[in-house]
Amino acid sequence: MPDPVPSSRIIVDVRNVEKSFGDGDNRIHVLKKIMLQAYSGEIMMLVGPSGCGKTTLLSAIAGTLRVDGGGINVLENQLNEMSGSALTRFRSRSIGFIFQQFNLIPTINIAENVSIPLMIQGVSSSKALQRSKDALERVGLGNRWKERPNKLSGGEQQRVAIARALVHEPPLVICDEPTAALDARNGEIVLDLFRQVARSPDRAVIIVTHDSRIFSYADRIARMDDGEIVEVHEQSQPTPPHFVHEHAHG
Amino acid sequence: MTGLALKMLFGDTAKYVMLIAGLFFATFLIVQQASVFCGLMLWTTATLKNVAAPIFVVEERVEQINETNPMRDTDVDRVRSVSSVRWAMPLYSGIQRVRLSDGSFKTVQLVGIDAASLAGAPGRMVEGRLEDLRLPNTVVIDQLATTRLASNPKDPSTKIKIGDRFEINDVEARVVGICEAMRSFTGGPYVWTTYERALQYTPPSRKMLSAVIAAPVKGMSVEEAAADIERTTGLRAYVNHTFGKDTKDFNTSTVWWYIRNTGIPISFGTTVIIGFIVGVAIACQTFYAFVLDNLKHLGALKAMGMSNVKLSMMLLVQAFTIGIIGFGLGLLATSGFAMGALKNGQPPFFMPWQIPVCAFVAVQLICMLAALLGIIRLSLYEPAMVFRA
Amino acid sequence: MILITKLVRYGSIAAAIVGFYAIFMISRTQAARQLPTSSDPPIIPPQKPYVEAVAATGILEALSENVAIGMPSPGLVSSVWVKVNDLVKKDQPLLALDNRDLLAEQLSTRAQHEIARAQITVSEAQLAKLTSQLARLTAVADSRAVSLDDLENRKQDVAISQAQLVSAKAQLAATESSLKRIDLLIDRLTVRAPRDGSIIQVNVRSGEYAANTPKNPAMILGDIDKLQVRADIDEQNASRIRPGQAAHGYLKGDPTVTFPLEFIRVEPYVIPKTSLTGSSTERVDTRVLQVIYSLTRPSDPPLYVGQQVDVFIEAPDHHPKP
Repeated sequence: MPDPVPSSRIIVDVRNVEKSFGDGDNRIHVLKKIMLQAYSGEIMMLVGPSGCGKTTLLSAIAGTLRVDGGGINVLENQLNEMSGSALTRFRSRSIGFIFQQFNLIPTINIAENVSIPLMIQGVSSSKALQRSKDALERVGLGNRWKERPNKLSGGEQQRVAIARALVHEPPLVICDEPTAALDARNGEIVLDLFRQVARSPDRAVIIVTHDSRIFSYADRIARMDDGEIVEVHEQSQPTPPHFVHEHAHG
Repeated sequence: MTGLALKMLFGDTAKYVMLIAGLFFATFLIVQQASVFCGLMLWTTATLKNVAAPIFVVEERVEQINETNPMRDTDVDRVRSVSSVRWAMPLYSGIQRVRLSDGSFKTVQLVGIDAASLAGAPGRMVEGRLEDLRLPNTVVIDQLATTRLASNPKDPSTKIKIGDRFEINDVEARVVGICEAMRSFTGGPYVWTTYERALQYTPPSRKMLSAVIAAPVKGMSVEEAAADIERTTGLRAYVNHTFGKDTKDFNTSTVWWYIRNTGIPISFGTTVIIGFIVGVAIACQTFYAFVLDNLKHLGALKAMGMSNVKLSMMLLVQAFTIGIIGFGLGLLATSGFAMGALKNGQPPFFMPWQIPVCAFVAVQLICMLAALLGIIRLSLYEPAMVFRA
Repeated sequence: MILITKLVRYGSIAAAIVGFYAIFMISRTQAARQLPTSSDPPIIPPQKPYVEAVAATGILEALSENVAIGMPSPGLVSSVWVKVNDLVKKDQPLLALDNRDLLAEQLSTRAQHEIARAQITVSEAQLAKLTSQLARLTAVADSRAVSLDDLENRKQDVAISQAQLVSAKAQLAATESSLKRIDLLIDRLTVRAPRDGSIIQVNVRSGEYAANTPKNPAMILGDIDKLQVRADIDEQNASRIRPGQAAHGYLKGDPTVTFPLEFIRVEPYVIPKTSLTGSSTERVDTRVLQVIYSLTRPSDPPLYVGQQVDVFIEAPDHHPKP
């Protein structure tokens, strides 16, 4: 498997992961012997129809869901073997989250929202606030840090969420349907920005989406169906949507 | 983290107000009702406070000061004959009717004390001389009596002054002094006179001595002396400190008598319990709704790596804060009520420090219960659920 | 909106702080309102002079009990010679009753006395005359000149006259003793002190009618230099009393006046207590043992008979200490 970036290393290594819900006859196998790697410096998208298990896989990689079989290794940590509190600590340090509904707390201003990952880590509040203002600066909202989230448009709110996901410089960023709550134009603007600020040689980004308009922002696209990875596309030169080229799996 | 918790709390004004209101009502009901109850119970021991003697000797089966079984005059000498007793004096205490100049009747609490020593005299005179009580047909009245016995209680100019006269059971009484006194349970003012004159004011009966008041010899505790008196005379000797655990204290005995024999504690206790339940209902319900409302955000925090302990701490901080503020507001309202009560002398109000402390514990208990519900709900929330928007 | 939020937030916090402060102040005010706790009475009651003592209430009396002066007979009081507080000697006249009826009787008896005396003179003259006539007849030598019969008559006349003289003398003696009797009766109407003492009470004035009722004597005579205290001891404490126990008295109403008491006797009969308040509704519901003590009257301050006294008698406690 060729390396997208010369110095890239494996951030996420998913091996033979199985997950099922329910009992007996109602048992549904959501993940079936999944094998997947994510490398530093790349943006990988997990795509597929609804119910294919991509969100479950994402949850498992994010360390919020235990799998039934196989192993998930993230940054040399075997998630299956970690205790609950170690897993929580691991999440707070190593993973940035971007949710479909942004999940910004409405009663505090956006700078405070952005500082939450730092505060979880125990950074002092004045330092956290400074770093979150810097992060907001990078997403173009530096002068609006005092605003409450509900004063902002959907696109702006997602930009705040991006700032929040990146403020503690995590090596892995997890995005769940980042554009689902946005119109097409805003989705593109946000993804464009996101690609600019999130893509870094030390970081892997995993995006779950079924929004085909943004596929072009990915370095690799893993397509899932019925609990299995059916194919992985690699885009050597990801381009804005109008330059999207479909490459066959190499 | 604390700041985040508080900001989340204060951000939702409507829920915040609801939470505070619930705890405010709970605090107010608990503190105010408990204080009124204590005030009322304190009124039952008013004679013990107004006649500040260390030991009260009463007939053997007497349990409370307002209902004494009269003794014989020679019992004063019997008490006096006990070695542990430094002095012992007779005391008359009873409810009598006063006829005012306009012919209307009012009841008063008549207290007869030894004329020579004036043992059992009011502790604080406002006007006049206590010694004038030795003059013929004289009485000392309390401040309540100055308006209560006035021809028009609303009109300050008709207030009873020194030198005014009224009749107790058709015998003339001339006011020579005005004193401070605690209000009696029956609401009647206190009127002091000498023991002998009290007997003249009172319709004759076979025995008239209500109690013997006494003091222990130097170097002996009142408890020991009381025990000595009981052993030697067979009468009941109570000490007179304050309400507490000691059943040999007349205050305790009197208050317990009222608790056992009247519906007062049931009535007030019900209100206090309802206050608690109202607080629990409103606070828990609102706080739970508050947690549910914020579940999405709290779940996101959980996913982002906030530990259950920290999340629980946040909820506890929020609950504690509303507890403190609601409690403070409840105290404010209670203080307003108390100021009025202390100024007018009624309704009864007495707040020992235990009441606010217990109320604080109760309110915090309510809050912690509410927080616990939130914590349980939150711990059931898997962080993965945040992805299933 | 933000304004309201802030108002609610800071307003509630401020109000809560004020609430804490207010309740603290209420608590302080309440504490200041508390009446002073038990203390000593304005005037310290008498201190017990003995560790173990029986207390009793007593009344001051004149020593050796008071004498209610009786009247010899009911009658009008003509004059009273003594006042209350006068010291009197034995037999000193105190008062006199009206004696004019006796004086009148004396007058008529005196007249009869004069008559009796004149009667003697008449009888003596008669006797002298008859005696001389008899002597003349006896002097006639010739017995024929005087009849024997005549001589005998003369002799009998003289004897009669002698008897009449004796009778007149007896009459005089009778009137004299009658006079003496009247003097005695007059003297009886003057009432005299039966012994030395002081007049404590005078209930009659001249012109009043003095009757002989034991409840309301005309005068009370007593010895007030020495007083006695009659102490009433509750029957429940009576067993602690022994003759000769030391005692101390405190004047009721002024406990600073104290005096030692000297035991005289225990009244052997336990009587129903009569309340010493003097009230019309005296309650007789317990029996008391009376013990009598004497005391010398202090010069200052004065004590008065009838005053109440708190008495402490040194007597061991019969209830043993536990």
